[in-house]
Amino acid sequence: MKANITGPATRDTDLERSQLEAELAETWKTPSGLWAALATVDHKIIGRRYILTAFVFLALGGILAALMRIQLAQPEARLIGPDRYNQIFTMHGANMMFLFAVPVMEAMAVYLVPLMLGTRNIAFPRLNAFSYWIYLAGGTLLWLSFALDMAPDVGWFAYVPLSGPQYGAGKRADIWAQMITFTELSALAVAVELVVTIFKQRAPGMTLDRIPVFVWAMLVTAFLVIMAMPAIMVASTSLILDRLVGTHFYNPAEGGDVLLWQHLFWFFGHPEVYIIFLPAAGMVSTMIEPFARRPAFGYLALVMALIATGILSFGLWVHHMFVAGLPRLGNSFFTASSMAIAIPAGVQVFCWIATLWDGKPVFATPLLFIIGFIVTFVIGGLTGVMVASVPFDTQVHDTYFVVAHFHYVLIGGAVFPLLGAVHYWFPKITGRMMSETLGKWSFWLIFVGFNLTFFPMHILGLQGMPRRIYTYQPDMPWHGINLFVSLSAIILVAGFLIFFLNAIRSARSGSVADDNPWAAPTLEWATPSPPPSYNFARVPVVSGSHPLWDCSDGLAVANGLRTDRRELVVTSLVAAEPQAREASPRNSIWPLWAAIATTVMLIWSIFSPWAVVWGSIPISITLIGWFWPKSIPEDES
Amino acid sequence: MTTSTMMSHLLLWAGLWLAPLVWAVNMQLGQILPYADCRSQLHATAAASLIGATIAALSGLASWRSARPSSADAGAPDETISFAGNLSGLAALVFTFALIMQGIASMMLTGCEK
Repeated sequence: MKANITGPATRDTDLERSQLEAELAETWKTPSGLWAALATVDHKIIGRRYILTAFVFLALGGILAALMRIQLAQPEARLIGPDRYNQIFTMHGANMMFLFAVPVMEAMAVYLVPLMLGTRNIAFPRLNAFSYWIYLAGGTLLWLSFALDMAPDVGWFAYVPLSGPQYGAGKRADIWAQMITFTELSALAVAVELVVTIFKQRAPGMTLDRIPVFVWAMLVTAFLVIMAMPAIMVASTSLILDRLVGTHFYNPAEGGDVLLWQHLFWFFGHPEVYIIFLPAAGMVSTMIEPFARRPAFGYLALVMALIATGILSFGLWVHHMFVAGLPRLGNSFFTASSMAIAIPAGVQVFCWIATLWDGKPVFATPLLFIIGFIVTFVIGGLTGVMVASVPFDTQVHDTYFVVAHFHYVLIGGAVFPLLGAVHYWFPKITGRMMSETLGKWSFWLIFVGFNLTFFPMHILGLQGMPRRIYTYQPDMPWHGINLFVSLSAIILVAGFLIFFLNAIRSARSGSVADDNPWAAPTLEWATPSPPPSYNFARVPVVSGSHPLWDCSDGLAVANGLRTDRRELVVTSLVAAEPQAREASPRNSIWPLWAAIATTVMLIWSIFSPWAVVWGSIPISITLIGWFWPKSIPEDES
Repeated sequence: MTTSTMMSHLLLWAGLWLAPLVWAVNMQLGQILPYADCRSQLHATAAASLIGATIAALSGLASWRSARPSSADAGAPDETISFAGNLSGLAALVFTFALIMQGIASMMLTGCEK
């Protein structure tokens, strides 16, 4: 390693700006070369990898959706057989939920949260690197199984007894269950990093009431992940135990309970919807400010809505089980909570409308996606209130009405804001602007294509078309609408193709972006585009909720950090007062080795329970290597 | 941390911990009490919900009253204390509403419906 320019224990107060930047660049850099790329713990590099990988999975999941639409365009189609179709809809759902939606939101946070908080790296950066490799391994496992025609075929929620040993032959359900373990492990790791980063690494002066709404959203989301995901990990592990070891968690004949699976799955599965939606809502609240050219209306109400939604999301799961035979009075409690959660969601919608109403809107592409989100999400929310009612849900359960509803909520509520966010933060991440012309084309094609594709599915559902059927008879009254839906999907696909084309083209040859091209108020825009490895040469000090709008003559900064080692400021929980200087770990290859060892153990455990015993030995070795002192300045901390 | 400081913290955040706690407990009671309601034709589920709604509302009131700068602890700026109290108070309102909805549902059903 190249030595630092100055001596040991040099503080940033001792250096001129250019010398300071050179010193920090040396300390925080990711060297060139494959080995260094594999060992990096820079949150920006890992965040970029996460985002790119998640969008690859989005494209793959989109191809599966297109295949399903081709199959369903006409009755008695023979393009795809029933077994492959079962794999395709299972892959589509599992891929979109576990490999795209949750990871991409956390990926955006991995990149953005440290920048928005004015710190130099995420907390536990090696765990962050580990989480990415584990996520990649889980996704690869699932798609390899699909390529080998042994993908899961039990639906994205893998109900028992269909997925149990009696009906789920082969290893398909095991692959689903272990993919869950990979992705949830990864999500839990990122959630822990985000909580610690937000609680302890905020810029001095960033009190609770000055935290950007997106960061609040990610804090709530992280807690949701921490509380919800253990339920599904317990469920998937006990399923594997039933299938491999012969336990009877879900076997009623031996005292097990199939409904236990539904409770465990949906105790995770419903908060999962909000794990996807809340970051998107946070993105909207943050992005809307520069385009409305005023602060978001009702900061307090927006934050309250995020927290209340997050907590209430744990009291909704039984509305997925209304036809499972539970007592009606018990069900009514979940109806009440499902309707009550519309209140905080409505509060947010009204705050966004008020912000635009009182602002001077600039209708750039990100704002178009925000408006498209509001329209689409409100429709999805309204059908959500409809299916929260037991009598109505009983009628449309497992029909295309539900398919329409959750695509309105998930694509409308998460993908629209996400696409807006990509356009918005693209210049920060790449240093180049995306094309506005192509952006507007992609928005209108996606918005129109989406509504033409999914709105008629409500009608199909009301006409009784069930979900997950690979074909239907010509005498059913569904042919015309199905053909219309499939043709409309072409428009939607065209919109996404233009979006991807725009992103690739702009990354290569887009116009160069300056530090703050949208004149936005949050801290990530106070550093160059793209940011240097150390994020901020001097740690910013915040005195308002919109630092770059409040301090037009420049931000105050904190001094006194060492430059010869990776160091950041730890602040207090409520008032964000500086408490300590803390070292941040250097690059390390050990997270990759640990991820490889964990991957071997998890995949091996699909075939033998002894894998857990023998596989834990290499994992322990890699963890010892990970934490072993390396006689570097960071070890002094 | 002295006892009075701890109490002031608990009150300040009451709407964010007590109201959700009451709601979560009531969600569980909503799965247990219907069987008792059905056997004895009581309205224990409704009573529990409405008592819970009252506690949630009071927790919000406590947070809102604690948001006044005079009752703030010295460790945080007045605006932050005010934000925390108002945030908790508003959140408590949402949980009070959810509990009232649950109470109304409990009054309309006997607990015997399957």
